[in-house]
Amino acid sequence: MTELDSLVAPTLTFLIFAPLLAGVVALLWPRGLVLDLLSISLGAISLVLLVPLSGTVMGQGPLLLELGGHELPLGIPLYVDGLALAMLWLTALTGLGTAVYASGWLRSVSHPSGQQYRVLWFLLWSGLNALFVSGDLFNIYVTLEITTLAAVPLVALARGREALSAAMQYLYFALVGSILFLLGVALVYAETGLLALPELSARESEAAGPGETIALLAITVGLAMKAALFPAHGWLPRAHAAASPPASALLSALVAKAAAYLVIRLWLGPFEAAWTPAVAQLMGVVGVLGILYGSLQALRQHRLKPVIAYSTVAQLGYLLLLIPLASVVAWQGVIYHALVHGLAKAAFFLAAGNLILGIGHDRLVGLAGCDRVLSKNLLAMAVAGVAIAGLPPTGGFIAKWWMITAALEQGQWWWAVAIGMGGLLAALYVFRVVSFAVHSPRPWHEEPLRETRHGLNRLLLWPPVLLAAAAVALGMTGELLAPFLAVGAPEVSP
Amino acid sequence: MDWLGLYNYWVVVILMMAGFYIVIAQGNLVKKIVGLNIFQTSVFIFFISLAKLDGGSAPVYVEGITEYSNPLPHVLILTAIVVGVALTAMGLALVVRVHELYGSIEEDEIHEQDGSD
Repeated sequence: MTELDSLVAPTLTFLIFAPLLAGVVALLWPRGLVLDLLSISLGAISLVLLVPLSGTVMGQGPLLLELGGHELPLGIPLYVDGLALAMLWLTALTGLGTAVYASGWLRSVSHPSGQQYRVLWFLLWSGLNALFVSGDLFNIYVTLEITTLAAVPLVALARGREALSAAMQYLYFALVGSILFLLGVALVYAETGLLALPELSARESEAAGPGETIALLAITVGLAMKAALFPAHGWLPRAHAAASPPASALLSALVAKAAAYLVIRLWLGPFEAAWTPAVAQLMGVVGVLGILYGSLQALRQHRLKPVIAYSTVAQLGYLLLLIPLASVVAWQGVIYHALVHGLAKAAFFLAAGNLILGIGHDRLVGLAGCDRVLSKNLLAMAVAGVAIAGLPPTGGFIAKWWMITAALEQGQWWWAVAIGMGGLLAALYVFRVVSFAVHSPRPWHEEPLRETRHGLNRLLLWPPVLLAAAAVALGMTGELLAPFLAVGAPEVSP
Repeated sequence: MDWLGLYNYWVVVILMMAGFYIVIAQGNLVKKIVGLNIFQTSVFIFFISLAKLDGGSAPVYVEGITEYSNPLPHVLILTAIVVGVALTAMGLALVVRVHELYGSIEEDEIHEQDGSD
C-alpha cells in the first residue's frame, strides 16, 4: 500500500459529509437564499477539490482508502478509480448546474415545497458521492438506500396526483430492488466471507460456485429495478416526467445512473468468475432491447418530458454493452457515454422545464413557435439532444466511436450495428421534438407565448446552456481524458 | 443431512415468498408495505443465520470459551434494520399523502380516480 497524498482523505470526507451537514443545516435553518448560496458554493468547491484528486489517481493508480486505519479484511475501504472519478465529476458538474437552476426555479414558481427540495437535494448529493467511492458491498447497500430515501420524495414533491402515484410506484420498485440487492450481498458473504470489492476482485480466478452466480443474479435484478434497466423500467417514465424539472434532471442524470454504474462495477472485477461469455452476451441483448424499446417509445410520446424520460431508459442500455465487450476501449467508451449522457440529459430536462415555465404545458403540438421567444433555451435543448444522439463534434460521438471500435476489434460486429441503430433512433426523437418547436404557431397558440417575451431569468437560462456546452466540449477532450478513464480498468478475460 | 437442522432456512424461504406475494397481490398500500417488511425481515434472518456456529457463544470475550459466532452479520443487519425503518417511515408518509389526495388507499380505487381525470 503506497502512501496516499495527504489531500485524498480530506477530499473524500468533504465530498461525502459536506452535503450531509448542509442538509442538516437546511432542515434546521430554512433560509432559501443562504441555502442556495451554500449549495452552489459546495458544488464549486467540489469541482476544485476534484482536480488534485484526479491528478493523484492518474499518478498512483486506483486509490484505496481504509477507513479509520483498519486494514482489510477487517476495515471498510473507499475506492476511487477512473470510473468512480468520472461519476464524481459528473455529480459535481450536474449538481452545480442544477443547484443554480433550482435557485431560480424555486423563486419563479414560488414552490411551497422549496425547503424540502433543498434538504432532499443535499441528502441525495451526499448519498451519491458516498455511493461512487464505496468499495464495500454492504456500504454500497447503505448508500444506495440513502439515494432512494432522497430520490422518492423528490418525485413526490411535485404537486398533483400523478407525481404522488408515480412516486409510490417508484418506491415499491426501489424497495424490492434493495431487498434483492441485500439478499445478493448475504449470499456473497455466505459463499466467500468477503464484502470488500478489492478483495473480491483479487481472488484467484477459479470457477465460482453456484451460490455466487445466484448472488450476482439477485444483485443484478435488484439494481435493474432501481436503475430502470429494461425490462424493469416501468416506473421511470412516469416518475421522471412527473417530477419538477431540477428533480427530473438529477434523477435522470445521476440517480438512475448510480444503480447502472454498480451493475458494471460489480460485473467487471468482483464477480468476473461468476459469469460466462454466453451470459455476457445475454446482458448485452437486454441492453440493446432497452435501447430499442426506449427509443421507439420516445418516438411515440405526445408530451415533452415523457420523451426525455424514455430516452433515459434507452441510454442506460448502452452501459450494459460493456459486459460483453469488456475491453479497455469499451470501458472508456461506456464511461464517456455515462458522462455525456448525464450532462446532456440534465441540460435537456432543465431546458424542458424552461419551456414548461414559458408556455405552461409540455404538449409537443403546443411547442410550435416557441423558438421565437425561447431561442437560446431551445438551442440548448437541441444541442443536448444532438449530444445524446452521438453526432460529431459532441462527446456522445466519441463515446459511440470508442464503443463501436471495441466491438469491431473483437469481431462482435452486431453490437456496432445496435449502437448505430440506437444513435439513429435518438436523432429521430430529438429532431421530432425540435421540429415541433420550430413549426409556425397557429393563431390560438400565440397568446400564452407573448407573456414570456420579457425573457427568462438568467439563473434558469444559463445552467442548461452551459451543461449542453459541456457535453459538446467533451467531444474535443477525448484523447486528453482517455488515460484518466482507463485507470483501474479491469484486466478482462473475455 | 437432517432437514430439521436447516429449519431456519425453511422459515426464511417461506417468509420471503409470503412477503413477496403480499407486495404483488395486495391492493391495499399499507398492506403492501407490511409485505415489503416481511420480505425484508426474511433476508435479515437469512444473513444472521449465516453467522451462527454450532455451539458458538455470543461474541463476548469470556474465560474458557473458545468458539464464537461471527459478530459481523449482526452489526450489518443492525444497520440494515435502521435503513429499513427509515424507508418504511417514508413509505407510510407517502401513503398518508395518497389518502389526503384520493381519500382511499386501495389501489384499484386510486386507478379509477386517475382514469376519470
